[in-house]
Amino acid sequence: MNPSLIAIWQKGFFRAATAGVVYVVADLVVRLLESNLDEIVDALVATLHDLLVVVAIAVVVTVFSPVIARVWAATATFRAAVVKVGAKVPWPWVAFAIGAIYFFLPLAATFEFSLRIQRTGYSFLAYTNVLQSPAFQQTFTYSILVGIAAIVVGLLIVVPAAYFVRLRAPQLRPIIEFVTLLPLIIPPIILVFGYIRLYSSSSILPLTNSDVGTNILLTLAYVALAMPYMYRAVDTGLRTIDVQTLTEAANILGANTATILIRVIFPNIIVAVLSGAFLTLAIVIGEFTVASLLNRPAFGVYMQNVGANRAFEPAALAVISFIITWAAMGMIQLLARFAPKTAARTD
Amino acid sequence: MEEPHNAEFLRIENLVKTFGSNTVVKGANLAVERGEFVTLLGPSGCGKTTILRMIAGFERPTSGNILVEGKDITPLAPNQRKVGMVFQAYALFPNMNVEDNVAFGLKIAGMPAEQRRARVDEMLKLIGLTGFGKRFPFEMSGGQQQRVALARALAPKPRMLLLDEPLSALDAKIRVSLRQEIRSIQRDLGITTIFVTHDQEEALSISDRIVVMSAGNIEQFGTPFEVYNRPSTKFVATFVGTLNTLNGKIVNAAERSVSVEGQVFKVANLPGGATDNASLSLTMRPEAVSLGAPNGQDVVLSGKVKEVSFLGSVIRLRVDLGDNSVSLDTFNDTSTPPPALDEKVTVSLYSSDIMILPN
Amino acid sequence: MSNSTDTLVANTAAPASAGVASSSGGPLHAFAGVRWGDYLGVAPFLIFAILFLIVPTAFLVVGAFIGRDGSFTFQNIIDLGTPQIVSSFWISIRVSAASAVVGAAIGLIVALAVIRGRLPEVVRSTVLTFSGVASNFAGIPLAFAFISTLGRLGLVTVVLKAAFGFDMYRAGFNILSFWGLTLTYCYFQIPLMILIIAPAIDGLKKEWSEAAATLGATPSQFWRYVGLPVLWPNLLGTLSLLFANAFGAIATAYALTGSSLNIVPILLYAQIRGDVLNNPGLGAALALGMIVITALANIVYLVIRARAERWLK
Repeated sequence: MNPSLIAIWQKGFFRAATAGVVYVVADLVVRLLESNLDEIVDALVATLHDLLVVVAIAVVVTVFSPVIARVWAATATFRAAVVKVGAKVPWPWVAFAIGAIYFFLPLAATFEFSLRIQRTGYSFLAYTNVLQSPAFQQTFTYSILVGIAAIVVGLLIVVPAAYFVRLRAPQLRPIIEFVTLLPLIIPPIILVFGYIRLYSSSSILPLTNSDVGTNILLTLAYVALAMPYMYRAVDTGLRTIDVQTLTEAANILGANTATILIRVIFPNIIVAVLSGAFLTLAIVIGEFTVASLLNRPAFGVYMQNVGANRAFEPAALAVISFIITWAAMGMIQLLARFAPKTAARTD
Repeated sequence: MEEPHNAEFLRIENLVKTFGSNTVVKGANLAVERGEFVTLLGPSGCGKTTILRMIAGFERPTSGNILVEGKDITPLAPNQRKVGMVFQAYALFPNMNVEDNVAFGLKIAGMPAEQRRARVDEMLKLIGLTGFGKRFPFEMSGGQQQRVALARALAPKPRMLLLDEPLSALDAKIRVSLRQEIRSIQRDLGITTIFVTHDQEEALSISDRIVVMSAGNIEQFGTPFEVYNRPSTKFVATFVGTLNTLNGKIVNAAERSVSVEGQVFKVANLPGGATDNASLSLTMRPEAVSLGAPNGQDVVLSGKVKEVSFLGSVIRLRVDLGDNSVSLDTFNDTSTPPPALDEKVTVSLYSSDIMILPN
Repeated sequence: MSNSTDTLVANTAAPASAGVASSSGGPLHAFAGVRWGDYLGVAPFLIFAILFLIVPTAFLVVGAFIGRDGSFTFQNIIDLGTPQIVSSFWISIRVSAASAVVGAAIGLIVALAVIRGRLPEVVRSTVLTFSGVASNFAGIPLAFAFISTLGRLGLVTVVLKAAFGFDMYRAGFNILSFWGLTLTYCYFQIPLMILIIAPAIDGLKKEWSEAAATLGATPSQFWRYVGLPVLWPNLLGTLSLLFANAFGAIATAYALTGSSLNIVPILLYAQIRGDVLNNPGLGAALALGMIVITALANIVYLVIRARAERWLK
């Protein structure tokens, strides 16, 4: 038996087997992803069925591998030409273009949809409907106010903590960093569920009993949700301005800690603070889950309501919401240009 | 068939590289012999690294050719040129241990595992790191990583070795020992090597020939002796080693006599177009200047000691001559203390040691 | 407030040697040499964290083990095994896994294209900025946007029908479905992937691919032997993060598929609103199940990231 023939069969078998295994595994994964629990057995059976087909094909391919190898070798020049053409295609641009389309299309489509409220032709009627509705104005104002409250409270607890950890108690940093991770790990729905249970009428702090109490709870929930971003923004700002030296300089000149914080540190981290503030605002404006479960008249709840009852106004709301989010993020980018730059800054 | 001695191996013809409106290499011409160790020396931005990268294939020349063994390699991709390269930042693959790093080029070339193992052991022995095979880059010091990088580059037996400031990221002591090691390995293997550095001491100590570059131009191409003692331009003289500059005047251009601090003497040559009473820059190395009465020297000047640096075996002095000052070294003498500040001294030198250089 | 200010003044004015130091060992070691006044600054933060992050979550976790009569029991956990709830977890896992894998794959390709594809610098910064915004654009507006794009009257649906005669919905597609929700989730999963994997791709030093080239490797050989193996831990870790991100999301699903796709957060939402399960303890158990899964996925991400950073020193 020709040894090179055996080698070709071995190679052919190996390749067919690998391809087959990959295909069957992918097949199984996709089927499982698509089936409900009661359909899992059917999915497994279907995969088994595919497996048999794959095995049959693999056997055929292995048997014919010398023939296939010869055909493959004969097409060498053709393949080289294909590779040459393929190398000319600017694949990175293609990938970027496809990504851009995926992300741009929904925005364009939403805008277009929002203009279709009148059967014929485009008009901004959906927008005027929305902007003039009292429900919109009230809930939007409510959300803005809650957002501002959340920003203020957030700053009051984050700025001193970041300052003291950086300056005097660096050993507390691991604890603080762990705490800032918590809101990212605990889903908001769990958090608000905990609030409802813990601060209900039968607990020590019956916040859910009154409107004021519930508003406070909502604000504090948003403080928690925004806290990781607020802390990171303030901490970065403090690192940039070399807090240690500033504090020592102010100290030598006779200032006490409160004065230092208010008149020296805070004005220098205004940019970082504003970044955190805009991020908080972006989170608060569109938020739905917490506000809905706490029964608060927030903007997110209003949007969901409109979505359930009307056809074209939701698209208009989505566009408005998107513009607000972009505006907030745009402000943050703008502020980054005005951030104090020092030699100590490490991007 | 024996290779002819001093056969030309690498030739660079009229190499030009422009980035946008900035011409970084302005027409370089170079011929390197087989087995030679050539250093590209110059300050940052002079174009030395760009030339190296064009030889490696990472930059396309704007115009010009690079020929290896007579063949133009300019159209070849970097992975087809069979050159080994060592980077300033070591560039060891972090996911592989030392063995796998060194064997990488061999694996790509399709060498069977047994042969790879043997070659890797051979290379580890060459760099003195036998037994380090299973270590990972992050477990090793900078010097060790760079040696592994060298082994990795040499393992596939490339035709040429390129080193891009390989010692700049290392501690001073390691730098000195490692450069000697690189040189002796290169000698043993006889591989043509191009070395890039901005450190002139490094270049002087290990090169067969040095290419001194400035702002995209090759200023001089010669042996360390030539570059140091017979610099062809002012730049080369100041960049390589220390240089003394005396301001003088031409007395008689035809007789080549000049005057410095009232002393008149003849120099070996003057630049073309020199006129009487024109001012002149005379340069010389510190070691050309001796302290004390002349012992055959024809130029004698007197002055006051302005600075004394006792460096142990060498005493470095700066002597003020009036309008000029010179720096000179004298050996430590256990029986004689060094001169004191403001002490009046005589310095003497041979007029033949004076270099008059074009700028 | 003046009392605490005076204390702060006293502490800052006093020489640095004053301090409540515990000399060595013991749990107080971390606090050795720290003046108590320093804690006042960090106190509001920690109090807030305890009252409004840790205790509510802990309360729920404990509540999962309390039965209808108020006694300690495992019954709630066992009750999680009912078909409706298990099916709900399975759907959540499916959606999260699908959107994580698809989001990670596409995000990786786009990130590679933008960072290593030799595109102009402006493309890279635009993509990263956009990703920063888009990763936050989840929730209700996102659902509306996708309905406007791929819903029955959506732009794409209408254009395909008008220009190519192709009726998506007749062919079986429906935005209000499992794959529709997955597709929608990708809108914030892909940007999140890009944001997180970009620094790791930046960490692939140019010298590595150059060194590989001098050793004879083609670009695909470089990716196979060096590039992907180095990125691999980060990819897995980020996959885990994307999974956790999708698992905890509710607003988008609520607005898009409502309760037709009964993922765990929606089930929990219904339970909180109206106790549809007729068992408050069971709601807490549901919450516990969610926390365990998201916490595990996040821990996997953090551990892998820490180990990968050691490599790339």
